[in-house]
Amino acid sequence: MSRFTVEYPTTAEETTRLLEAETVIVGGGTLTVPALVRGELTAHRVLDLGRLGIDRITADGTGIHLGAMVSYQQLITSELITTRLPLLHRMASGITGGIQIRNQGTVGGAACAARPNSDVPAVLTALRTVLSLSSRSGTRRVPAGEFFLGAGRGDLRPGEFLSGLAIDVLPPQWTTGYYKLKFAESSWPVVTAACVLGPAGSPDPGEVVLGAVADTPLRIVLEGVERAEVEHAVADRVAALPEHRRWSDVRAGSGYRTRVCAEIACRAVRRALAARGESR
Amino acid sequence: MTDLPITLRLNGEDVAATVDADATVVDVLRESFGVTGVRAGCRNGDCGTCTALVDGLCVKTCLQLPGRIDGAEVRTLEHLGTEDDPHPVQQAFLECYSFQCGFCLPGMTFAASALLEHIPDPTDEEIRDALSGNLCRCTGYQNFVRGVRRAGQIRRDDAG
Repeated sequence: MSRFTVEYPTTAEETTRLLEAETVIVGGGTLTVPALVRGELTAHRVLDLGRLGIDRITADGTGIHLGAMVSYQQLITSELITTRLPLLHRMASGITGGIQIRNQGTVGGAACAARPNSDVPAVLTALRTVLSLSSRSGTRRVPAGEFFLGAGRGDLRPGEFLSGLAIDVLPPQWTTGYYKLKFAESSWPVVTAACVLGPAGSPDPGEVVLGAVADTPLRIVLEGVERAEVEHAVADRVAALPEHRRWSDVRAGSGYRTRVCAEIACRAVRRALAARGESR
Repeated sequence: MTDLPITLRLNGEDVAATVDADATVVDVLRESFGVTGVRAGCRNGDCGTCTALVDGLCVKTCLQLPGRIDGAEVRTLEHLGTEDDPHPVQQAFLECYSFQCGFCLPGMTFAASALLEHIPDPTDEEIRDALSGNLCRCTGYQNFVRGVRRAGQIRRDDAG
């Protein structure tokens, strides 16, 4: 006998109607389905978004719109993403799990899961992504910097589902870099860093967003791009983190993450500098 | 209602069954349709031995609920090649002694095949990356890397 029923809505209206009752949402399935199988997630009703058709990548005048079910593999193969959002392309190319997981895992699912050690939250925050959260009462648009509330906790209210993500393309001469530390090919990241830099000589040099150092992405505004300046900015920001917000898991404790995160940030900055033709 | 009727094209044949809605696709393929070219390993998306092609995409079927294959075209390892006419990846894995027990072959074979569809002449780094979602406890992976390299060569030779 089945432990839960599964609905496969085909429209946004049907989805929001079904969400009026307590429901577990399955996106790509890579996190939710095993958790349901193991009984870590319990539900009487599951909503599988696989037939909803929200898996398109489109462009308008200023930005790119991703359906919430866009897979990592789509981000890798899309010409639009490769040329206009290289940070997202770079992040997707390094997702752990090989071809199968990249075909199945979705950027929207990773955002909703809000795992501190996932690649996605820090990158979406660095790109100032806006998430569209749809419900029967309409669509709420929330910047990624405000969406991630804690470990495993996104600002997704009862009755809402993530329908899409909007990202403005960076102005000309802005560059990005991504770097992550992990201990094995099949491991989740230990620390990630996503860097966005303004043009050389800009009074606003840019910023780095660290993942897996705190329970939510950690945005660090840079005063300069020299190594010492980056290290100093990271050290200041991390020192100000209260103990309860520092992230630890089976791969590394918070002390280790604190020690290595400045180096990871520097490497992301170095890649962003390389993208504008500078080496440091 | 917890039963789910599904129809699909499985390894070239139209099939139908009523399955548990909360089953995973790997179990549906094995138990409702008798297909053993997908295997139940970790059930966590790590080992890759439940891999099949669903509508042409290489996926881990332990991560899918059965409605995902309703109306779909599914190919499992049984349908990739034959003993007399193996797929280039299968031929190469045999030539290079890539595997021993064969438990990991669904994932290794389909991941390699998908890689070569996208990148006909991959680097070793690209091969290792493509295979990274599959666990093998027999061979230490080196011969799989050689096998994929060889499969690429066979494909290029066949293409003339």
